[in-house]
Amino acid sequence: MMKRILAIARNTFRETLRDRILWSALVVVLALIAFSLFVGSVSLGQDTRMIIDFGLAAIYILQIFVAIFIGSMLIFKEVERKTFYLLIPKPIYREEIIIGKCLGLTLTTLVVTSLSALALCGILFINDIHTFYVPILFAILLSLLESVILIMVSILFSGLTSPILSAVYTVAFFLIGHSGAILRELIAKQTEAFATYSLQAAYYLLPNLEKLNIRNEVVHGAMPDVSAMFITVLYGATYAVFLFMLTRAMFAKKEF
Amino acid sequence: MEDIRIHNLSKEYFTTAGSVFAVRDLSLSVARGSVFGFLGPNGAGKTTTMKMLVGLERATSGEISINGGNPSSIAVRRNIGFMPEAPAFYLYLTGREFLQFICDIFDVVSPSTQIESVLKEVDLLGRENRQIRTYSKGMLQRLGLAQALLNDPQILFLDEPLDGLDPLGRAEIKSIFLGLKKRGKTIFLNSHILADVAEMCDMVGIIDQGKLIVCDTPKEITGNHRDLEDAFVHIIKEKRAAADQETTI
Repeated sequence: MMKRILAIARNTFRETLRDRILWSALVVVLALIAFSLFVGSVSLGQDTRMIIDFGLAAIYILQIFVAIFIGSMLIFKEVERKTFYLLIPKPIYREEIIIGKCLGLTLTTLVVTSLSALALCGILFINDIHTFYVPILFAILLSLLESVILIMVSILFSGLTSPILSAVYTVAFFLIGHSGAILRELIAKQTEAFATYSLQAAYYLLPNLEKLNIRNEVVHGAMPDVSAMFITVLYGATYAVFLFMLTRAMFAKKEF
Repeated sequence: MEDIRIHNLSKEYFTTAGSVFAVRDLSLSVARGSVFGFLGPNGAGKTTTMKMLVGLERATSGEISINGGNPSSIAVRRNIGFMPEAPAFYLYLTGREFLQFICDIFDVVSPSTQIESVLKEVDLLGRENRQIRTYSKGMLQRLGLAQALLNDPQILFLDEPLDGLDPLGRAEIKSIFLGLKKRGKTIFLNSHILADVAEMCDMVGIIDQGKLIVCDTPKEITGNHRDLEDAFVHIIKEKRAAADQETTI
């Protein structure tokens, strides 16, 4: 079983790594990280904060881009180009394909994240800033977990609809996931029962992705609480498993 | 002994305009070590039948037995090879990388030897390190056949395997099929090239509008007609005329 999953993951990794869009996005992000040097130099004593803030934001954008836009194409391309015709009749379970695809794209995200994180750390090192590496690593790992959740969502939607709609739905999921506080306020203001229940359903069903965001603390020099982070990772992983079960159910019924 | 047995197989698609039968009450069997040609006009239900045989689609009703098991079973799928019509690949991989990927899925014991042997068999040796996006249509067909042969399957399902090949390529692929037949493999193929079907197949089934209308040896089906193609056209026309007459009455 593991060998088959790894075969799918390796194949997905190779295929996405040879996609020019990925490298174009990485170049843009590396340019943004380099640009943080300039922003830092004109920020009147806030250069460390600006470099970290800019750098972490750029890495986060790259992770989300890969998860949403490359993830949305992942299954759709297989169905549309009919490469699945060669895969499904082989001795492989459909859930192995889903896990392998998710693993492969996560690996791709990890590679581009590592390259951009190295660039950020290099800039910090050049600027004699040595105290932020561990919190930065924590922030990047948590945003990587967020991108895993978004990859699962993209895979789920890309098996159901076109890449454009899949990307739109995943972006909507991402935005709602970061709007937990707004949702709570909206629920409190509702007078109609239907609207209240609908918003409550969205609030409880969709993940609170803000929990995976510790970039602000890191930028302000706070060391993240490891036990709180552990619970957050557990929460994120549980949600990813829930999404996997949904995707698995969808794929089990799918005909090609 | 039968390697493939289909009993009362039906596939119904539900649309907003109602339901449509792509395949209706299809029953046939294919003996071990034989080549079975599945013929029919466009939209007759050939590809749908093949998709059900390899587990890409589920039957609405009826039974399929491949080597005594169900196509959804992993054990059955270990023993089959499938080449779809105009196979599509991961374009940024090389031919060898793709075959290695398939070997990993089948957990082939010595993949390099198996890949070399299959590449030689389909005449792709020397071109396997090129990215698939640079392959010609004929090379893609050969690669499609190569991936179907990698696990040394007992049963092969081939959807239009000779499509896109020049006469020389067709002759080579036909000789591969005959070699496989000699080794006791069972081949189920869909094809439009009836001269090749007549040459290779032990049995032929003709399907039209989802129904099997005849299943016999090419010689019997050809009968007094010029060739299998001529017989095919006459049989389809006759059956359709008879069906129209029934509807009028």
